[in-house]
Amino acid sequence: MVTYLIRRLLISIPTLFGITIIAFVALAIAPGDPLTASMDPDQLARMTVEQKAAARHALGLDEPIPVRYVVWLGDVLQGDLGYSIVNRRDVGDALSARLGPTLLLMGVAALLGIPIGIGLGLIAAVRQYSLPDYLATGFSTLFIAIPGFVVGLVLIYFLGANLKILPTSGMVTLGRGFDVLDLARHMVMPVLLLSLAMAAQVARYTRTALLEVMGSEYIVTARSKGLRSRRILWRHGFRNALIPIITVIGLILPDLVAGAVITESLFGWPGMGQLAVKAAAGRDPSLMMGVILVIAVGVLLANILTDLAYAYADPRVRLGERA
Amino acid sequence: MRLRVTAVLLTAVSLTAITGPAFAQSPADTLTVTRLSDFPTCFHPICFQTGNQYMNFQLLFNSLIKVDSDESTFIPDLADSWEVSPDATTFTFKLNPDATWQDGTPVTADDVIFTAATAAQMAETYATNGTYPIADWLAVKGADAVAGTSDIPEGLVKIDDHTVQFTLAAPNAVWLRNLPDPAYMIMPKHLLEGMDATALQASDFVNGKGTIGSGPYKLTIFTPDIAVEYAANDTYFKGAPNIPKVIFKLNVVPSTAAAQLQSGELDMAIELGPGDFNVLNGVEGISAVNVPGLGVQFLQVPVTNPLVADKRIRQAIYYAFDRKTLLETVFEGAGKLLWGPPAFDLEDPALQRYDFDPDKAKELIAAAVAEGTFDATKPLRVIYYPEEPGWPEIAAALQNDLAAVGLNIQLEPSDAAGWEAKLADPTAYEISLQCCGSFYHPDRNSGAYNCVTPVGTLYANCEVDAVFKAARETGDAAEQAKDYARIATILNEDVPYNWLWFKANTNANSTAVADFEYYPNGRETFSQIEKWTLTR
Repeated sequence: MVTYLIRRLLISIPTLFGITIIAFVALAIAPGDPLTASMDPDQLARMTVEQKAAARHALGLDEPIPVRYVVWLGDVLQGDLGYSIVNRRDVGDALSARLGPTLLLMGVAALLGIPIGIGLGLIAAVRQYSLPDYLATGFSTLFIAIPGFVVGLVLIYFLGANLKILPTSGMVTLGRGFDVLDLARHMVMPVLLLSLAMAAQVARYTRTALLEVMGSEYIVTARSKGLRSRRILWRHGFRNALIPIITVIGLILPDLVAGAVITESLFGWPGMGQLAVKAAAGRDPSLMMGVILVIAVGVLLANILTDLAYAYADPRVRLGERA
Repeated sequence: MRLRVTAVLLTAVSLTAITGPAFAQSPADTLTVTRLSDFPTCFHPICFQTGNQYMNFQLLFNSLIKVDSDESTFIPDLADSWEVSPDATTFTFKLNPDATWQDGTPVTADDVIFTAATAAQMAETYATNGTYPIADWLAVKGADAVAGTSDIPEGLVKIDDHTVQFTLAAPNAVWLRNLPDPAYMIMPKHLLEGMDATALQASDFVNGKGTIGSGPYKLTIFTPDIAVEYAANDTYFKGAPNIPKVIFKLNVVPSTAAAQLQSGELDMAIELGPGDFNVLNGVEGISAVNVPGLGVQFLQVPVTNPLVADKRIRQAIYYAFDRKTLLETVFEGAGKLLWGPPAFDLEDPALQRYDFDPDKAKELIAAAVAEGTFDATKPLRVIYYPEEPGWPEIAAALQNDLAAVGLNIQLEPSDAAGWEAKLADPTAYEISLQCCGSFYHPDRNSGAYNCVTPVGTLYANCEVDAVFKAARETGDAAEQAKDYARIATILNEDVPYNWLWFKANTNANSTAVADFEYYPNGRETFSQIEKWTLTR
């Protein structure tokens, strides 16, 4: 297991390099640059060609892409993630300010959404073709089909603007001291939106996986042996259905770091998702690369954790060992 | 069973605790405001780029003079009186002796000279940063010579501790009108002296950690991307503000701004989207207004692009686009139609009003095609970004109207950065939607015309440049009017831009906010914020 872990971590390094190269080049060739993104169009229209060239030179935007990449990489390897041209801030500062809020929001949403999703999926599978099954399946379909943006706006206008029972924006009420209850109130709507979306996905996969397992021959054998249904479900059914469920959860894990772009933007939650939008809209190379680097590390770690979870859930899975 | 009941009760209690009235409304002593724009981390004119900075600088700093809400009457600020020489070359300001910085140090002529001089010395940095123009500081005699040095321009003279004189390199009758712009706000010499441009931009002062101004509010907490928090400056020389605290919220998403006003999380929002007026109009406790603004919706047409180089095509576009109906229907009349450059007197009957006339448009197009100056088979690419309020509607109507006269229109929406990148290349588009600016005076148009190094539409007409210059330099109002009339005639004929209308700003506020007026230039609304009141 340890050997496997070390090997996976070492393999992640060139993977990370590859990701940064592709991302850097993609960003460099996209139309627009920090100059055009950060300046008032009125100001930009009044700049002469020479002035724009001088501004691009001052920002280092006139260097060839490979040169800019090597400079960026050299800085990163020395612990300097660079300077955000659009925000006029150190990229490290910007990222560290955003990571905590994202981990909090996504963590709470995952802690709620995943168990709820598994529970709903279990109920739906065990009581197939009954009212609970139809309700659970209907819920999954609804929250997968309806865009999160729509649900979010409905929540904002209904609970915030009309009933005025929950805040619609931000992490805390500005101008007041920190208050856990205030923070909790601000989290209700975005967490609700995110956890319902997660629950919908997880429920669907759980139901499908469990139904497939419960139709297996060994389950029939277990029933015919007279084992109690609860024991069959948990000891034999659910345990064997875990692999696809772990896969879905493994796909959700990177979001703990990446954040949810739409939800964070909608609710003004100062997280990584909102920062990624700002960086992309601002064509801010250092900031965008910083965001991508953090998310890439999160994805790679999530993949490793998922593989470890597979090995724990299914003894037949051997990690890095000969069969 | 017992477990289920306990779980239900716990959930109910938690929900009750979490929800409830008055959860997140602004505190009673705090005015929470926003404007839908960016705010880079910068509290100094050297990196002043956005409208949000404009508004925040009004809370922190002062100019020599300000304007009233009519955008033309000057009111004292740091200077409580001033004199202008008859030839408009010398401007003498007497500073208010009671004005102090928020650390108690008096504001003196040294601060004014320091501010204007360092701007001239660091002019190159200002230019590469793309800041709001500092043309007034650069117009001072000797400003050119001090770029890159630590010298004082010869035109900046300290008469005494509270009197400062500016002598310009050339007469400029509009010089005074530009001074209220935050690009010219006065900075504290005793805190910033000795820093070069790099050190200045890296300083705590510029980055919101220890920024000291002379204005009505003191910066207390700056949380990047979240909010800027202020407390009243009780020693403000114009009188302590009535409202103890102000919070300027950042990064408010346009689609939720109206909801935040309704929920009480915001007390005021400047320059909302046009659709928000209908959402907020009539809502109890909220006042929503459309204020005639100084910004303009217009079409930018690159005159060097062969497809639109013939002015008859540009005139045809103007005739073919039914902008009056669009303004009255989709935009509910929130604006004032234009047919010439904004802020000019357009009532001259000799000016063509470009009223909707598709037959006239077809006639012009046919003439251009017959002479081989226009290829009707090629598409006219219209660039814009859909996030700008009103642009999707204008683009759709434009496509419809121009197609009706036989023009092949291709809409090319992109995000803001992509749009600005295309805007810089005259071969990448034929028409671009454009907006805004602050046209409080005809001279505000002059920056778009430069026959030596063309900008914007790349229209180059040295007569226009020369007449703008003559208008600036004459102190005679009648002569100036004639000059501007001449420019209006030329531009009305050549139409390097299709000016659509002066746009109205949709602003909204809680009715708890009183004793204030919205400025046509929405960003200037905080000019007299010390007089505002907040009653909850």
